[in-house]
Amino acid sequence: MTLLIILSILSLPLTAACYFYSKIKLCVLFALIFFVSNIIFAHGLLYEDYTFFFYLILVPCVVFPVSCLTAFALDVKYGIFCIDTSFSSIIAWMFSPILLPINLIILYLGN
Amino acid sequence: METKRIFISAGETSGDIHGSNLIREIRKKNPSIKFHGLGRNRMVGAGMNCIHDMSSRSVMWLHTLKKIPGLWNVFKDCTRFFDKEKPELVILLDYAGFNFYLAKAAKRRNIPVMYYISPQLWAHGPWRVKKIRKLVDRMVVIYPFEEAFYASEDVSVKYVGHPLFDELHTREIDEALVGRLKEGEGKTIVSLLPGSRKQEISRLLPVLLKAATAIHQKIPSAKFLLSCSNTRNLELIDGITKRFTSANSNKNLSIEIVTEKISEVIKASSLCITSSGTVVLDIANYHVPMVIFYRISPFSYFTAQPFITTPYISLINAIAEKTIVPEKSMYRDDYKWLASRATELLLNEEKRQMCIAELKEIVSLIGTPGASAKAADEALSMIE
Repeated sequence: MTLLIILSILSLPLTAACYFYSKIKLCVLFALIFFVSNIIFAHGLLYEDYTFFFYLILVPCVVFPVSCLTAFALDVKYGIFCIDTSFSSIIAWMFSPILLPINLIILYLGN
Repeated sequence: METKRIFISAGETSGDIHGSNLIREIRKKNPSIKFHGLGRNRMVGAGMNCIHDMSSRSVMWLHTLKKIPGLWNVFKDCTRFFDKEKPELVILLDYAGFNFYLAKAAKRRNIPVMYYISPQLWAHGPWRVKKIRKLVDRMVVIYPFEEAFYASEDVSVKYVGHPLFDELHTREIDEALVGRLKEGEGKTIVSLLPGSRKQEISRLLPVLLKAATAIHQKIPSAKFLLSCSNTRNLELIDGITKRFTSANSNKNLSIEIVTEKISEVIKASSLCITSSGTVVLDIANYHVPMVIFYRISPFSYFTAQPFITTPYISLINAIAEKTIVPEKSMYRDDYKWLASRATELLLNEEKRQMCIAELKEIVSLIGTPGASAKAADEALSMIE
């Protein structure tokens, strides 16, 4: 559990730093660590007793930003959407970091 | 003879100016052509039948999200126009986010698309060139390096020069006003140009006013002119300035607001402190040294950073491919930086003269008029 908390917390600033300095592969790696560790974290805290709440958090904090980022990646690669998809990264940065404080608050309240 | 129709779309003030000049040039060559589209008062004045006035729709960054419902209605009206009137050509001016939608809608209906005044793909988001290749039949570009950029990506492109210089060559300067603005023996005139969008003004003007105070402390003879590009923004500019001066302890600081007289303000100045934008070419045209800055929120600064592919924020330095005027993109009130660079350019004569000489060189490179006429030829070649 301690390792999971450390990974969940550390991966976010590392993702941000790699993003800011355009280290895209590292950024994707740390973002994956962030999402996976925080989903497992939330699963451990909520899934058993509050399954609906678990999914309710996952939709805006994981599914929505990851969909946006996927659309953005496809657009960069193939130019398929006419919308200015660079907004996707803004949306992703607005929604995905929320997962971490939610997890930490639930952990704090649970203790 | 069947009347030909051109649909034209411009979202920004500068697009409205260049769009109106383009309409006039096309009408000179073919007076029977009818224009419909999106723009503002100048394009309407040039003879465009306005489907929607875009005055209140010029926004950037996250603020765009608030305007989506309104823009959606505009878009639907445009597609209805495409279906009903079937224009011979669609001309898009800058305003990439929205105009890409129109390009796609036009392309679906087999209407040729000309993009005049390219979005700055060479500065940020170069991957968007793939969309241009798919959606646009001809790019008509205004900077020499854009031609090479698009040609290397297999996009049909034509360089015509910057239309601002058409405007500047015909603009009549009120010399009496210039003389009055310069009044005051031994005065050093510094002009402050906070941009034309309301959100820009709210963010940039407080930094400019703080910088003015810092400059005044070092150069007490400095007099400040604050340019208001549009009367619509006067209330906002006046309000911010009044609040600042009433709270400011330096009661000798003189700031005069001048409305819709940007050339006169620039011509009267020893130095301009300005937001980055097309206005820097206006300033360069009068060979006035300048300090350029832009301020965005820390969040926008952070999210935009990976997409910026040019080391320069201003057109002047981008065209010169070196720093000939100081520039800085900032996310906090770094007015001390502005004041120190401005003071340096005002007091160090050697640096000042070097800056003026380099500005003259840049203007000699890009300052030839005739861009609108050449763009009109391109448009007509696509429909005739």
